[in-house]
Amino acid sequence: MTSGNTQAFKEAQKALRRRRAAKNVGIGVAAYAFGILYFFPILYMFLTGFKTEIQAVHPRIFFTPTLDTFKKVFADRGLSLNLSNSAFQVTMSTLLCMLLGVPAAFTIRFGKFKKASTNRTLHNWFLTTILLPPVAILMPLFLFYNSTGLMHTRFGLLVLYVGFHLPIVIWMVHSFLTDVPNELIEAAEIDGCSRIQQIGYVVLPLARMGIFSACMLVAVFVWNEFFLAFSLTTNQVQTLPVYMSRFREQQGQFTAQLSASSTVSVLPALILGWLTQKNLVKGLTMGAVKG
Amino acid sequence: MQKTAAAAPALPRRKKRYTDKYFALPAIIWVAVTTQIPFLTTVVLSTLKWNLVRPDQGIQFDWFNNYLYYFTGSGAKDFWPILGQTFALLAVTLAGCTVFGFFVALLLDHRLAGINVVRTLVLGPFFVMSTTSGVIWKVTILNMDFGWYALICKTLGLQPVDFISHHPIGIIAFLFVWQWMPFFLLIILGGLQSLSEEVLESAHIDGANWWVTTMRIKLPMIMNYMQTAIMLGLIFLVKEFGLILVTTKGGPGKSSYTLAYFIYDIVFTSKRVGRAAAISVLTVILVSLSVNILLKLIHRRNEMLT
Amino acid sequence: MKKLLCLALVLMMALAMVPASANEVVLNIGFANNPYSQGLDAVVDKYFDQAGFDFKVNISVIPEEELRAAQTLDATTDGVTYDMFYVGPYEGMCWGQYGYLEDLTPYFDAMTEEEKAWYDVEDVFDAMMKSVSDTEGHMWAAPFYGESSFIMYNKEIFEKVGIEMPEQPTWDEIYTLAKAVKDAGYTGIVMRSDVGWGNLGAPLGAMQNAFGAQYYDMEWNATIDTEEMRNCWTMYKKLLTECGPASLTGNSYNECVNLFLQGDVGIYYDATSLCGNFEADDSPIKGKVGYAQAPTQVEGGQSGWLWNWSMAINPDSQHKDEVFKFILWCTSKDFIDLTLEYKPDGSVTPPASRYSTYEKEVIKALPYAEATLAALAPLDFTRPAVNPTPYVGLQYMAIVEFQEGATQMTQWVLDYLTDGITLDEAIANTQALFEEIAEEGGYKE
Repeated sequence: MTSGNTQAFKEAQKALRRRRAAKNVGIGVAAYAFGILYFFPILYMFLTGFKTEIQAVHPRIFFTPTLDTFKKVFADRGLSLNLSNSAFQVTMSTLLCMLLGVPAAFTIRFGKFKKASTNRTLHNWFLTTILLPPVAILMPLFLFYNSTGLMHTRFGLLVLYVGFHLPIVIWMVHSFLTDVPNELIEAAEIDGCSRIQQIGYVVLPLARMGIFSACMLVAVFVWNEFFLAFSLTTNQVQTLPVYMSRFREQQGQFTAQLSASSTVSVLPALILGWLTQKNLVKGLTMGAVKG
Repeated sequence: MQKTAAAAPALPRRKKRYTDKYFALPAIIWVAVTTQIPFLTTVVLSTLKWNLVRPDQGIQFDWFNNYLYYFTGSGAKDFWPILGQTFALLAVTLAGCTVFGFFVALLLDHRLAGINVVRTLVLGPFFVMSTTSGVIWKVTILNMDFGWYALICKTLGLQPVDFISHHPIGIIAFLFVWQWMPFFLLIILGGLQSLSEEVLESAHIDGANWWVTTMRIKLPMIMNYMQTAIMLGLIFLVKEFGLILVTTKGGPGKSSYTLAYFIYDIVFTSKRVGRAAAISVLTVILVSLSVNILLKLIHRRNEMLT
Repeated sequence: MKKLLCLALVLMMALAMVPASANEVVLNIGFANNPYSQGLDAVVDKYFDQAGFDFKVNISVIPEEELRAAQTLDATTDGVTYDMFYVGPYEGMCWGQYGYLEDLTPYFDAMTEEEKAWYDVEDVFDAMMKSVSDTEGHMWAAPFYGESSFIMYNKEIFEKVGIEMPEQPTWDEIYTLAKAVKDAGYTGIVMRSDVGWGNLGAPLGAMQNAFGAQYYDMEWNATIDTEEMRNCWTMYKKLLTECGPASLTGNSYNECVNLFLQGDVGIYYDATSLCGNFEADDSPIKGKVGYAQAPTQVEGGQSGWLWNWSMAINPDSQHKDEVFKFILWCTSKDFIDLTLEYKPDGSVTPPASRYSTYEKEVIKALPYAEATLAALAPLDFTRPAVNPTPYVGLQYMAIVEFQEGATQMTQWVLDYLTDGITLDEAIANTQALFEEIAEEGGYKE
C-alpha cells in the first residue's frame, strides 16, 4: 500500500515536472519569438547595412553580404565629424552632470540648512525642472544664443545638456542615497571627514551602482537627444540624431547607406544600454518608487 | 537626526554650520540659468505682440491676447484640435505601453535559461535614437513601394494601407509604444521581481488560477511601479519631437501635430514670438498639472497601503 | 544673494567668451540640398584651395526648409549662423527692404574695370538678375542657377500605351494622359506632396496661376475662395489620388526623382533643374525622357514657375568682403568651366545663370537645354495671374508673411488630399488665414 502510494506520488510528481518543463519550453519559445519580432526592424537595419544599394531596394533577408556600404559610409566626412560631436557631448555632459550632481544630491540628502525643510524644497525644485520640455524655452534660447554667438557651438549645446540632465542625475542619485543610513555620515563627520571626504569614502562606494546607472542613463539620453541639437546646430557641430534626420533628404533614398550609418549611430547607445540594463532596472525602479 | 542636532554644539567644527549649501549651489545655478530663467523669459515673451519677420512693426505689449488668440481667436481652430490630438496620442501611448509592458513583463518574469537574451532584444528600441527608428520604420517597413509591410500584405492578398498618409496619429502612437514599452517593461519587471515569493506561493496553494493571481494579487502590488512608469513616460513623451518630424512632419495638414511640434512650427515658420511663447507656457502648465495629478494618486495609494 | 549674482555674471561671461577664440577667417555657408547645390558643394570642395583665397569656408548642405528657417532666424535676430545667405527671388525681393540682405551694388561698383570685364554682369540671365533686384536698382544677390518648371515624361511608356504628349499641354490633357498611363499598369504621374511653400507650394502655386487663381485682388482682399482656386486644388487631388504613386504624401522632389528614375512613372511635373539626374550616365532612363512645356489651363494664365538660387551677404557678418569674393568666384564664368572640368557631361553645371553657358557645345547638346530655355523665355514674374495682382512672384508672393501663409496652405491642401478635411474647409481655412495676414501685416488699408 505505502509503496504503491509512493510510486503513484512519484509518478504524479514526474508528470507535474514534465508538464512544467513543457510549459517552460512553451514560454521560452513564445518569449524568443516575441523578442525577435520586436527587435526585427533594428535587426533588419543591421543586415541591410551589409547589402549593396541594389540589393537593399527590395525586402530580403538572405543575400551575399558586403562591406562596401560601410566603407562608403565611413568615407563620408559628415558621419565621422558628427560621431565625434556626439562623443564630445556625451562624455562632457556626463562628466559635468556627475561633478555637479553628486554633491548636490548629497547635500539634499544629508546637508544641514537653517530651515529643516530646505532639503525637501530643493529636492522638489529639481524634480519640477525635469518637467520642462526643452521646446518651451526655444524662443528665448534663440534670441539669447543668436545675440551672444553661442548659436551653433558645441559649448552652447553642452551647457543646455548639462542643465537639462542634472535634475535626472540628482533625482536618481538622491533616491539611492536614501538607503545610506544617516549614522554612517555622522560617524564620518565625527571622525573628522570633510564633506568631500564623506562623498569620496562613504557615498561613492555605497551608492556607486546608483551613480553608475545615472551616468549611463544620461549618456544614453544625451546620445539620443534630438530637439536641442536640431534647433541649435549646423552641420559642423550637429550630433548624430540630427545627421540621421537629415540623411534621407541629403542623400536621396539610399536604403543601404542609410542602414549602415544608422547602425553606426545606434550601436554605441545600444551596447551601453545592454551592458548596464541590470543596473538600469534597479536604478529606475528605485528612483521611481522611492523618489 | 534630531539627536545629533542636539549633540552638535559640543563639536568645535559646528561653527561653520551652514556651508552645505555651497555644495548644491553650482548645480542650482546651472539648472536655473539653463531652464528656469529662459522659462521666465518665455512667460514674459508670451505677453508681447512680436513678429520677427516684420521689424518695422515693432514689439508691443499685448496683455494676454496671444492666449486669447488660441482660446477663442482664429488660432482656436488649430489649438483645440492639436490639444486634443496631444492628449489622445499621450493617452493611447501610455495605455499601450502600460498594458503591453505589463504582459511582456509577465512573460519575461520566468526563471528560464536565456530569458535575459530576450529581455535584451526587447530593450533594444528604447536605446535607439528616435530619428533613426522613425526613418528605419518609414523606409524599410512602412514604405508603400519597397517596404516589408506592403510585401507582407501583398503575399497575404491584402490591400496595404498607406498609414502615414491616412492614420498619422495611429502610426505615431504605434511607434511611440514600440520605442517606450521597453522603458515601462524595465520598471514593471523590477516591480514583479520585488514581489515576495511567499505571497505568490500561498496564493497558489489556495488554488488561485493564473488569471486571479495576476489580476488580483500581482497587479495591485505593482500598481505603484506602474504609476511611476506612467508619470515618467508622460514627462519624456511630451518632449518627443524627432520621431514626428521624420515620419509625418506633423501632417497631413496638422493632423499629427503635438503641442511640442506646434511650438516648433510657430517658431520656425511663422516667427511669431509671442504666440510661440504662449503655447509654450500653456504646454508647461498642462504637463505640470497632469504630473501633479498622477503624483497625488501615487501618494494617496501609498498612504492607503501604509 | 550678491554672491549668487556674481556667480551668474561670471558664468554668463564665460559663456560669451568661448566662441570668440578663432584666429583665421572661416566663412559659414549653407547650401540648400538640391542636385546643383550638391554639385556646387563638391566643386568648391575640390577646387577651393587652388583658387588661392586667404580665408576658409565651412559649408553645410541641409534641407531647403531647414536652411530657410535658419537663415530667416539669422536675418530677423541679427545672428550670423551663416555669413552668406543662399536665397531665392522670394527673399531677394522682400528681404532687402528690412535690411536682411546686404546691398551688393556698392561692392560691384567698387570693382576695377578689369574685374568687371572678367565677371561680365551683362552675361547673367536678365530674368534671374531682375528677380533678385528691386526697382531702384539695388542688387541683393547674385544668381547661381535658375530654373522654371516643365513636364518630363517617359517616352518608352508613352509609346507602349500608345499616347502622345502635346508640345504645350493643358492640365486637362495631362490628366487624361496620366489616367491612360495608370490604366496601363504604371504610375501615371508624380508631383510633390510634402508640406512647405517651397515644396508642394511650388508646383501648386504655378498651377494656380495656370488656372487663373490668385492670392489677393488689388485691394488686398484674399481671393482663395474662388472657383479658379477650387478647380486647381481639385485637379491636384485628382491627379495624385487617381494617377499618383502608392505613397500619397511625403514626397518631396527627392522622392519624386527617385520614383521617376525607377522607370515606371509616366509623367513628372517639376523644376527644369532636376533633369540632370535623368540624363546622367548611370540613369536607368537616360535618353528615354521627353520634355514638354508647363501645362496651361485658362487663357492668359502663366504656366511655369521662376526660381533661382542666389548668393547674398548676411549684413551682420564680420567678413563681408570675403563673402563677396566667394560669391563672385562661385557665380563667375571660371566656375562654370570648373564644373565642366569636374563633370564633363555638364550634369553639375549650373543652368540658366549665364548666357555664355549655353554657347558651350556640351551644354547645347543636352536633351533638356532647349526645353529649359523655352520654358524660361515667356516668364514674367511681375504679372503672375490672369488678373492684376498687388504682389509679384510666380509660385510665391513677395511678402515676408508668405512663408507662414503658404506653408499652412500646403498643410491644408495635403489634409484635403488625404480626405482629412473637405475642400470647403481647406478653402475656408486658407481664406481666413490670408485675410488675417493682409490685415495684420498692414497691407490692407
